Amino acid sequence: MTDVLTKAEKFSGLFEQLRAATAGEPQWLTERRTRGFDSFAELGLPTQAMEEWRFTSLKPLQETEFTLAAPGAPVAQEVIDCYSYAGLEKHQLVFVDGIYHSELSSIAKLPKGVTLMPLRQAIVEKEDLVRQYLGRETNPDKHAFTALNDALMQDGVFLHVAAGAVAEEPIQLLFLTSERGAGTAANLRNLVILEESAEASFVETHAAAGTDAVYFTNAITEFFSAKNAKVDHYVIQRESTSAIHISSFHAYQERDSVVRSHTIDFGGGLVRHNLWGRLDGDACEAILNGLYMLRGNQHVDNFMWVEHMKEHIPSHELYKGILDDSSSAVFSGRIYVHREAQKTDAKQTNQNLLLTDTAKVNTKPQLEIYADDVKCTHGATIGQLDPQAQFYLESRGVPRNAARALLVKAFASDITERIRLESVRNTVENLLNERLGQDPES
Amino acid sequence: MTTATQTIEQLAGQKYKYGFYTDIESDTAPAGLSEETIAFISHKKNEPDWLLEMRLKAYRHFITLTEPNWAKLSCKPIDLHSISYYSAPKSKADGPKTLDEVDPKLLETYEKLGIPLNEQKVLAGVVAVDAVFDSVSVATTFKGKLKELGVIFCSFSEAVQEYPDLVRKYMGSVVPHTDNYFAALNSAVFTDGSFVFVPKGVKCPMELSTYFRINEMNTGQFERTLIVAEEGATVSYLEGCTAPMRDENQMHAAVVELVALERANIKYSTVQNWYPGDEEGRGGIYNFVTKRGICKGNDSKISWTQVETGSAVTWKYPSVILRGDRSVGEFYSVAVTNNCQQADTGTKMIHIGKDTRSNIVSKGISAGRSNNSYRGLVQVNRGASNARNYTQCDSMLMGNSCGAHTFPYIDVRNQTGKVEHEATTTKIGEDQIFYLQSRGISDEDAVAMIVNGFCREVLAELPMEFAVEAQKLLSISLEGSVG
Repeated sequence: MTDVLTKAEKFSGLFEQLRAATAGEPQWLTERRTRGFDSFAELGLPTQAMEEWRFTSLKPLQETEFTLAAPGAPVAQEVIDCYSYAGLEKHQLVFVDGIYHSELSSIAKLPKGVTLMPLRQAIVEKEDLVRQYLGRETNPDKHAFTALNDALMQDGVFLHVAAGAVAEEPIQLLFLTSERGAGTAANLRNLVILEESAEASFVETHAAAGTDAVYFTNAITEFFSAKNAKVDHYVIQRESTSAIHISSFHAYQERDSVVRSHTIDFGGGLVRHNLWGRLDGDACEAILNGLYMLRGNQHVDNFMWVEHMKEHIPSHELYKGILDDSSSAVFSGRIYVHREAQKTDAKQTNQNLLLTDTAKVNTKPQLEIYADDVKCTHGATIGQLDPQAQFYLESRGVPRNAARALLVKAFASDITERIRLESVRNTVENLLNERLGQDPES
Repeated sequence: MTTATQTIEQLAGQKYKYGFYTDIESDTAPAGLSEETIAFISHKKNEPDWLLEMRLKAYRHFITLTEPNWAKLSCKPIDLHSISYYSAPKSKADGPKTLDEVDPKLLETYEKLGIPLNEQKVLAGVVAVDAVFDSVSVATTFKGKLKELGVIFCSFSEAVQEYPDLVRKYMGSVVPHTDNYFAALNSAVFTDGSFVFVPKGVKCPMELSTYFRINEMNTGQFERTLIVAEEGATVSYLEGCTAPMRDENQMHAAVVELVALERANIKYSTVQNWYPGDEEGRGGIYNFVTKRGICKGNDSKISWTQVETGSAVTWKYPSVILRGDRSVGEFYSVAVTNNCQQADTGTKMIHIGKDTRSNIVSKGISAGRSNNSYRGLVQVNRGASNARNYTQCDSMLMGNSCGAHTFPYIDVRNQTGKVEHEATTTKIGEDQIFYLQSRGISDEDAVAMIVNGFCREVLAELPMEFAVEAQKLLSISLEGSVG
């Protein structure tokens, strides 16, 4: 019990501090914060005794004291250039240490029906919409990090696309942690609402800009896709190797909508992605891809819960991992098929490549099925590079390292080739090359 | 197709055909769990002090535990104090020396069960049956023949009396009393079971078999089975179960331990057909079993095969610890649930030695309002180079109120490990049924045929006698589930 108290106390300073800063907020939001804080105090941080957190220790989080970042930390333009993608500068929102940085951001003229702004601004200007949707998919009474985010949410992006409107240009979100951001806790909150037949795509990058210290990101993205809406979502995670990154992605889908999500992890010390999909409309579609390439002592945990609630829904999950040194990865996916969800076509795959004896993988692809007319498959493999393939390449004069890189890239290509935005794909491929000790050009 | 001659209608017409109750006076311990009960059991069985100590140690550990709830099962909490922990048929006191001396009522029961002991003796040493009737072994056959080879096959209590050193050496070495809630309970109150010891280099010439049967009202059954195969020994063991029809839930918490030394080979097959409860889920057996084998020596092999069609609740994970280099673990399972049955079953393969291999094939079929889960762990430890695992679990659903779930856990810490898991869940193929029907086969026959085909890989692993029984069981269990 005392343990729980200390955990709550740990963030209570931040809560008080933030409460003062957000005094002008609407009543409902203040109430939400208080409720979040109270339930966090009750829940405490998850422990490994919980099935959902069995393989991920939050010790680094418990050991560190966090502060709230002050606004206005400087970030050099070169840093921005380094992390942004060519051709996607049109709509670019930059958040530094969890706080929106207007000077570094640019939002070009938006098509009719498209609203794009930081959440703080939306709370003022679009209060009804925010109030209607914020927190609809999350459960702060059950999930500690949701509760914490509710209590401490600072800023994030707000995107609303009206019925029939299309945000043609991809939206770029940069979440950077500056030198001053060391030791801070950033609670990001994104809200994306797509009305009927709306379309949008966005690219989210999380990166360290000049710090190797421990910092904590707790991000929640809520996604609402109404009938026939289509959305592409990319997360490129390049945090520092001491960073703690917890993210929750909640997607709610109505009929015929399509969500394509890609989560690519290169960085982070302790990373946990929660992905909750509620497929609540006939024939909607969810495509969830992931790639993690880890080294050192990095730990990435992908948790997924996809609920099929209506008929004729395909969902495809493909997560691939490459683990070097003493890194470790966890995959736990659950496909939950409700009784009504006939004609479900669900596929869940997790494949891992272990490059050393000290790397470790825990994988739990799970199916829970209550409908009888379904096609559900899941598969998991853990293996090493095929020595025969490597020998073949070497016998053709390809140097050992290059052969290894070639095979690893081929393994990852299942995911990289699914990235539709060329500049994003190039960046991911370059990062892969870099990791493999290859010249980006080769 | 064996069932072709025996039409499904006939089979379907039967309720639970093994539901009867034999009235024999028994020497039953008063209900309740306490150190006194344990001392009573131990005293009754004339056990040495070390065993009583072991029981009490397990009991003291047990009372610190709470019932696990992680499995995907929902069942009424079991009142451990209303269970009677010991019951032995009275006739035991007179000590029957031959079958003729055995209470004729018992023999009658066996005949109803389809184990004609008399006949089997005549039917030339195919199967030796150590029939367990409510905790105490009454008759053991073919012991003589086995003894010539040095194979020990007897009841657990007998082993305690006659081979205490062997029992003491191996008991609890695979499943310690601290393993889990039910194992702790079993270690404290187990009454009887089977003991098999196959000495160095001996290939056991026949399938060893035990029929378990729960009979006495309110008697939880806590068997303890221990099978040890020394260097180069080979043994195949069959276990088959039926239980009489009854309304109250009966709990069954067995512990089975297998020890395979160098180059030893143990094959353990189970057909489990305990009373599953009626259509509304009343009654039925609660089956919480801890089964584990250890491939202690190099090049050893342990293979589990199970056909689970009975019990209201099944909680069972036959596992193999692959300690020896190049050891092999296998698990073949068919689990069928109908009406309100719940099964949470699977396996654990722990790879410790080098070049170890494991193979898992699990087939789950759910019908009615039942829930059927596969839960399995494949663990490759750091030192287990070149470990290889292949897992396949397929589920079939019949009707839209049942559930089929797959919860695999894969934990790999060695880069040379190769682990594959594949699972599929499908509905029984309408086109397949249609094809068969268009050839004049009734739909229930068609279902039985498809299901048997679906399970073929597993059924092929069963010894002949069991394979036939298992195929029939599948048809009975699924009766009326497609319509």
